[in-house]
Amino acid sequence: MYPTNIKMKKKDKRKVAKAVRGAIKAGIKENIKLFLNTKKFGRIILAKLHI
Amino acid sequence: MKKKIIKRAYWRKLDDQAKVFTLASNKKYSSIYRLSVLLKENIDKELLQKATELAISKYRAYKVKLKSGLFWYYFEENELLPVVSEEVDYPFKKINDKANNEYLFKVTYFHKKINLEVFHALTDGNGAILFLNEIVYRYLEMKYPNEIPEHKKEFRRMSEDTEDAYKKSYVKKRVKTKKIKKAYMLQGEELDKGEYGITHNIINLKELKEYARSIECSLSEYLVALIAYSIYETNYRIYNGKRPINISVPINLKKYIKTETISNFFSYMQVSIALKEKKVYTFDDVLILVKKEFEKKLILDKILSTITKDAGSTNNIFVRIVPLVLKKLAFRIGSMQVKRKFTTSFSNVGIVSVEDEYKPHVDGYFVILSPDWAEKIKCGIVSYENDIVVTFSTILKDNLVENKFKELLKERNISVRIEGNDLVDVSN
Repeated sequence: MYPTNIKMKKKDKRKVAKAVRGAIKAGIKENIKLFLNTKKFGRIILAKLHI
Repeated sequence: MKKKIIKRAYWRKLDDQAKVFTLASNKKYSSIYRLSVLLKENIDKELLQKATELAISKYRAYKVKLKSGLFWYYFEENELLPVVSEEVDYPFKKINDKANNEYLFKVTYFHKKINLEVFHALTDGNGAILFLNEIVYRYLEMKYPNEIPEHKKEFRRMSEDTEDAYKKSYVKKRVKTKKIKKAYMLQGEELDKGEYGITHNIINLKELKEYARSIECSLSEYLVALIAYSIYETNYRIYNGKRPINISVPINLKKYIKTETISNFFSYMQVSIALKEKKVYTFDDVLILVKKEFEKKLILDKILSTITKDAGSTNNIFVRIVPLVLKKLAFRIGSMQVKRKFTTSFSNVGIVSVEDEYKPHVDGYFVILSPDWAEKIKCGIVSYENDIVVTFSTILKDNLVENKFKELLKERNISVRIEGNDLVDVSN
């Protein structure tokens, strides 16, 4: 009833991998920010160095 | 087990327009404006202090001081309370000093009047009116506890949103606009440093609206034309002006783009009145030119293009990575160039609405903008009930422009009442 064994095109694979990498990077960045925000010194660093 | 309460000092980034204001401000150009409310009885200092403290506890977005980072300024929570003081000097003195606990606004009073002076980086006129009204409401609730019903005190709607609404409004494709030319700068002897002449023109709103309608133009178009013509007659012609009279008209973007933010969200439109040297213009000629400019420039796409160009410049990666010290220098030089492109500013805060229960104690509102070396006269406008108040603030010794404005209104049988400070002659 449904097609099986659908192969993803190489181009699409790259796109997915790029999106995953981006999400991981953003996640790490966000988590570091959240962690720093819980510490007084961290908050000062974030405020002073925000770009 | 007792939970440990972690006290977090709050900090937040500035919105894009606030970044420009903080970088461009200096001793000569301060971007401060003043909103005043006139009550019907003399102000009680202690109650006003309490009212301000209660209001700031609700408007926590304004409970901040300005700190400098490596790349940008930022807002940090201010743990001290604002200090209310009596008005003893001319407006627009340094705002975030130690005496005021480094707040970016200042609350003063004089007889029946409460003043709120705000550094533009904190918020625009719209946000400031909400905050001033909150102070007034709190003050009146304490002064007349039996007159205001309880439900009015508790469920007053307010926004705590400080989103940078500019970020979502930038356009990818900018509409091409003509390069703004240098403007005519008002001439004349200046007052001493720190002195400002203030003239309030209290005009009957209904009469003015009806008159503007009768000649088929909007209220803003009509007022801008009156100001432009007053400048033309009393300054431009006398000093043989050659450059165009450019008037900056701020536009409240909260009307056009849905946002709950109480931070800055405005843009401006430049009304440029190019006058030919040998021709003598009448008021009607100037009005036609102003109407054409409004038609051409009061278009949302063009306004969004302007903010993308101006406030959006702070998002450029090359601008962002430059250290604050260098950025400040560059923006100050840049702002000097921009300021030369305007003769004056015309800022209409709009209609202020006050809740019915509080209305019997409120007499009126005023808006005063701080003039500077380039825009030697500025004009702030606010409407409340039956009056529209056009306030001129100037650093020029003569009041020819203000007097001409009043004359023009009187010639058209529009009722106008004049009030002012000690530096202006309001007798005639």
